[in-house]
This record gives sequence, structure tokens and C-alpha cells, in this order.
Amino acid sequence: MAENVQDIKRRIKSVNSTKQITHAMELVASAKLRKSRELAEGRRPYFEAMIESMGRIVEKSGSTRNVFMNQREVKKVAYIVITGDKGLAGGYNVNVSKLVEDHIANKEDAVIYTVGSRGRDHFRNRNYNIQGEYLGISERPTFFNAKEITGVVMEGFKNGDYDEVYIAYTKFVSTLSQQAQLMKLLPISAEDLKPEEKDEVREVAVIESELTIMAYEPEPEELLALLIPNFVSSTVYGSMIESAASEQGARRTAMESATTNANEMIDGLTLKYNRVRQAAITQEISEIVGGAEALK
Amino acid sequence: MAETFRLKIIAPTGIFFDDEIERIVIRGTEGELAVLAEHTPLTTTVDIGTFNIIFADKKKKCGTLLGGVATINPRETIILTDAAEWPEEIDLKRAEEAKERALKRIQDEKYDTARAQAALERAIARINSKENN
Repeated sequence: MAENVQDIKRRIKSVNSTKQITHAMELVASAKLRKSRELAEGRRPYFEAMIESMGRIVEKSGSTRNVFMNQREVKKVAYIVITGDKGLAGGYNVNVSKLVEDHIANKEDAVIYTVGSRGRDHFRNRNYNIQGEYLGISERPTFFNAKEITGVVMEGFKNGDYDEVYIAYTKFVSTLSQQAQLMKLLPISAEDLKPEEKDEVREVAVIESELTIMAYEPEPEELLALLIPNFVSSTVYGSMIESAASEQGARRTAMESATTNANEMIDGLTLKYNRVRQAAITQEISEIVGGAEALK
Repeated sequence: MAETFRLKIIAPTGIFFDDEIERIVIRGTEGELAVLAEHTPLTTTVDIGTFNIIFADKKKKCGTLLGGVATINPRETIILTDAAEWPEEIDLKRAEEAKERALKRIQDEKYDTARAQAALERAIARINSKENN
């Protein structure tokens, strides 16, 4: 038993204070997770209604001339990478960045927009072309944040700076599982606008809308031009919110396992501490007894 | 009693309003628009401005819409908006500050005029809706 009782005691103390921090972070993350999930759910009605009305317009106007809905030859690609501003969330930030990196075929032809400082640092360290960075919004994204980013990206797409736009975010599968995903944002394919015909309610609505002829003011084409930015913004907003929820989920899981590890360490160290202490006492007693024997 | 129809105002952050109403007056980009039940189907854009709802019991309610699209059907109207607010949610002081700021920025070449213009319209709509109440 080479270790000093004092040393072990100090280590227990230090592990314990780390544990308190990780535990507090876990609690904070679960509270934030609840909020983020509520937000993520609140977005759904808007998104669904948006898809429905756009789908109807596209159906009516047939093929559209809108620049955002036409495929062209892909030379340059833009990526919107959504990560967090803070670490300590397990693989949350790295997974998204890695996914994008794997997808990029040619470094020179990739333009990157980052949300969150973690993604920015990742790509800056690897000398990628970062065109825009948005910091301090990843925890609580608003629709206007999303609109701003979308505006920039759509302008670039329109000007031909790039021919495809992808968005990388973390899908919130469950509290315990989050998945990094890459999704094509632009150009929009007409397929995306087909409403998912899952529920009967929707089918009834479709039949109803076929009976009455919808009038458009302004013209469908013009209306579509107005709707598309909102549609894209809504997609971006959704990805941002989902990522925010995922970040909290990932952090909660990471902190939970950190707390468990700390507990295990403390248990191990306490056992060791008691053994060392016991050994010292035993030794002292045998020394005293030995000394007393010698005096006889 | 007059006929009613269902009005849904949906913002990206959630459903803002969902109820049976008698009439709504909105500011469309093509002009003011009053919608009653059995309106002919129409999809139109909504400008930044106030809206007035009249319920079946003649109670009134007004608020602000920050642009969007309205899909009108005989029995149901859905307004998709960037953001919607009730007057009680609006901070008059903040709106007035925003108005001042936007006015300055429109003049200043450093800033994006279109954005400042939009900010100004938003601020004015908010102030109007507050004062009407």
C-alpha cells in the first residue's frame, strides 16, 4: 500500500466536485431538452400546411420555371452545417461535421455556412471555404435566424455561386438516440411537395379542394416565388430546432454517463481509501504488539 | 346568428389561433380583404399589418400579422404567417425604438434598405395595433 491516505482523500474530493458539475449539467440539459422538444413539435403544423399549399400550387401550375425548383449541372455545392456553440455533448458536434466532410467530393468546390462555433472551428482548422458563420443562435434558434440564413443561401444559389445546397443537422430520434443527417435543400424537387397521404383526413381535404377551383392572387407562379423562401426557411428552422433538441439530448446522455463514471470512481476510491486506512491501523497495532512483546 | 367558419393562424413556432369566427379583416398585398363564411376559394398573400377578428357573439379581437399567405376556403381559412402577435404581447416602447432605428437606417447607406423598410413596417404595424386597442 504505497498510496498515501491523504492523496486518496484528495482525489475523492476532486472527483466528487466534477461529479457535481456533470450532474448539474445533466439536469440543465434535460430541462432545456424539454423546451426544445416543445418548440420542435410546435413547428409541425406550419410545415405541414406549407407543404400542402405549395403542393397544390405546383400541381396547378404544372412544371414551374422557378429557379429554385430546377435542377442544373452541379459544379459547386454549399453546405449549411448546424452544430452547437458548446462542447461536452458526446459525439454531437463531431458527427455532423464528419458527415459533411465525407460528403464533400472536392474541397475547392465546397462552400460552407456554419451555425454554431463548433462546426466553424472544425472546418476552419481544415481550411475549408467558410462563407458565413452564425454564432450564439444554435441553442434557441428563431424563425428569423433561419430566414436570414436562408436568404443568404438562396441569393447565392440564384446568382449561381453554387448549384446545390445541403443542410447537415442532427435528427432527434429519441431522448437517447440522435442521428446526424444530410438533406438536400435546394433545388427543391417536386417530389418533396407531395403530401404524405397517411391519414384519411387529408384525403378528404384533397377531394374537397378538387371540387372547388382555387383562385390565386397574385398568379400561382408569383405566389410560389413568395412561398418558396418561407418553405426553405421553415425547413432550415426545423433542422435548427431539431438539432437544438438533439444537442441537449446528446449532452444529457454524455453527462449522465460522466456522472455514472464519477460514481464508480468514487466507489473504487473509497474502497481503496478504507483498505489503506485499515492497513495502516493493522500495521500500527502489530507494531505496538510487537514492541510490547519485545519489552517482556 | 351569422354563419361562422374556422380560422387557423399558424406561425412557425406553433398554432397561434384556431377557432370558429364570423369575420376577419386582413391586409392583403392586393388590398384590404374581409373574409366571411362561404368565401370563394382563394389563395393570396398577406402584408405586414393588423387583422381584426369578429366572433359570432360580436366580440372583437385584433392582432398583428407579419406577412404570410392566406388560403381561403368556404368553411376554413388558414393563414400561414412569419409571426403573429396579440396587442398585449407587444412592447410599445420597443416598437417605437425599432421605428426610430429603422427610420435612421433607411437613410443610412451602410444598412440594407429593404431590411430597414421591412423593420419599419413591422414596427408601425405593432404600434397601430397597440393604439387601436
